[in-house]
Amino acid sequence: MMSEDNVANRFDRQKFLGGNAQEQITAFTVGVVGLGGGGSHLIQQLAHVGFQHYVLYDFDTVSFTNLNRLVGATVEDAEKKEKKVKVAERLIKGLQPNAIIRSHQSRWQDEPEDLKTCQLIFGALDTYLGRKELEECSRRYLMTLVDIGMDVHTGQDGIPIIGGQAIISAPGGLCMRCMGFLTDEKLAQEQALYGGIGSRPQVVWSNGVLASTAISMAMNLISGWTGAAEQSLYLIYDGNRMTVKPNRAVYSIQEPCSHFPPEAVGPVIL
Amino acid sequence: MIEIRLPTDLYAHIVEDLQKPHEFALERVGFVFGKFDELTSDKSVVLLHQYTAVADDDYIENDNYAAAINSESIVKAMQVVRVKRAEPGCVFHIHTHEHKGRPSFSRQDQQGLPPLIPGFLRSAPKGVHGLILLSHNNGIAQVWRPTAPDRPESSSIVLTGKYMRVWS
Ligand SMILES: [Zn+2]
Repeated sequence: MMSEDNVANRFDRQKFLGGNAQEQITAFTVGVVGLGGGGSHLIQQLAHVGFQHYVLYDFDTVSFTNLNRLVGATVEDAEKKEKKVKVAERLIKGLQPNAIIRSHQSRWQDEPEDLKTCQLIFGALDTYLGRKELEECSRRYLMTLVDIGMDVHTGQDGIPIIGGQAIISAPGGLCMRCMGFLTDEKLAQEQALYGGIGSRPQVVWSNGVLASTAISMAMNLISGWTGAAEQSLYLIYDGNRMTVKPNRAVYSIQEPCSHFPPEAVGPVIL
Repeated sequence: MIEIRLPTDLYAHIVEDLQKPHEFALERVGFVFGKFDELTSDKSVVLLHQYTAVADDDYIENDNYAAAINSESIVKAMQVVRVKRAEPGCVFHIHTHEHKGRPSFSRQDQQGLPPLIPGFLRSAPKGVHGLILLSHNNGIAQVWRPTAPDRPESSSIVLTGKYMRVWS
């Protein structure tokens, strides 16, 4: 057992976040949807920071092809095809033994009620459709969504280009459509591939940068420690130049979001 | 447990209205509307989305209460929530105490405000209803369920949007 002193000392090095930041961290319920390369990094950091209430979703099990990036997973997990939610639970419990975790080895859409109990959700999904549906749910239940994703494609010279983004979609603010990230074209293209996103390239270091970016965005939302009047909502990762920069185009958007009217909250009553 | 979720832009709008001085009333009050959803066996949410100020003329001069309002303003509030009776609409009386830190309902609040609740419950029987009290940087709430009209529950308030806070 950890003594009271040890518990108190654990967060000494993040006291700069402010007087009651740790109390706030403890009060939130965080959801993580997708516990692969990106999600596993998110879990690790949330547990270190001290979150105590988790809702987790991933229908998948660990395979050998995951081991290049799945934080917390071992060769043994791949051998016995361990559930990804179990790997995440182990990672959290190793750091926060008293954490309350509700895990679902399913798509969140199949068991959505626990997700709606969260105030803050992290999306680490592969598809645009997945992001669209998660954002719709987050808006109806006044949850703040922090979404991350990475992608590798081939440039003109045949050189691989690593890109990615971390986006905050919060109630009352711009949504992923307003920000130009979700478009009908992208959704249609994806559907034309028959949802067949196949085995997309993924690397641990890019996932790590994006997860760290998402957690730093979330920590500022909760604690306001930077004192900045406006939080960056859309950060772009350039994996070749190795930079993370704000998407400047988002700053010039003046109109409020028209996709999610304020009254469109709660259960859909037909 | 019931959690009340309040978007930060709606919160800013409410605070702005409640801070406006009034000719004679010492405090302003308003009504904030939302939807209720019973999520799991141990957690339900109220999702606030709309605010209605009490018009200047609807305050009445009264020595006992800092903010006394006429029944017109309450009827107007109940009309808002009654519009869609099939929906689990919620209505909350909201006002501010002028200090920092966790507020608490005054003796006058405890006497004067709960009598509003039966009317709210009749107007929107599928929702939960109650009272929200703000300070300059905190807030508390009491919620009445239609199934337990005599036993209000203390609820946490979550600010969500441009920034996030839990007041529990
Ligand atoms: Zn929008």
